[in-house]
Amino acid sequence: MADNFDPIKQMEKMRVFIPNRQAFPLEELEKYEGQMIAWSPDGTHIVASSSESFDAVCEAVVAAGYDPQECVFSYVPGIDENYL
Amino acid sequence: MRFPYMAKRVRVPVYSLGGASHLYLPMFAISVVTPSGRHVIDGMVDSGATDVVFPSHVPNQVGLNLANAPVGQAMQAGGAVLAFRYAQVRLFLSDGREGYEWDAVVGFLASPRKPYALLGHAGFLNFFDVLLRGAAKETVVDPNAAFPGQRVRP
Repeated sequence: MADNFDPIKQMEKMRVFIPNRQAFPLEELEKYEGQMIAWSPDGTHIVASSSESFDAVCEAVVAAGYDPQECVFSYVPGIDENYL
Repeated sequence: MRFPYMAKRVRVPVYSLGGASHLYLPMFAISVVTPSGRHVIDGMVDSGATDVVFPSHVPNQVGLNLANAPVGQAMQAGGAVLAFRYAQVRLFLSDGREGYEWDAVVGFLASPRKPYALLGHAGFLNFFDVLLRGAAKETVVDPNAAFPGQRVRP
């Protein structure tokens, strides 16, 4: 598997990331509705976003000086997007 | 493992939920790992999905060439057909207190149709017992007897 993948390290990252993302203000997250986003590795802020594609998000992550392998990619559903 | 539900705002208050302004979904971050790379992306637990399927950008991010990979397809609610290609990868899931890694054959969408992973039966629900705790707004995920991987502890 990936030479640089350390499951213990990834677990420790999730220990920090999950509560931080949960604490991120919903009203701030709602500014990204309908967009694909990349969270910072610690879950405290959003590093990049795009309404076009995840490829564009990955490029923006690199441009922002982050390693895409360290970020968490996500999607913020649009306010009118419901699932069935 | 326990994962908090993810909140999603809705424009029209949800009548069936007493006029709620937000919905809560069983989504959490999962890692896709190959010899060439790794990618962490949110996935939604989906008991109606036969497979685990990732968005179309993931193969590039983890160095997978799917040109000759086996093809699959599935019909979404509403009738739209999603095409994907299969590959074996390692998956890793952790809530920060414990973690699990396992090998699974999963699908990668052929086109950018879904912006999140679907955590269906083959590769995920077959290996984990999942409890959706609606009142607590959390997903509880525990490996079952069929789980083929390893537990990771601090």
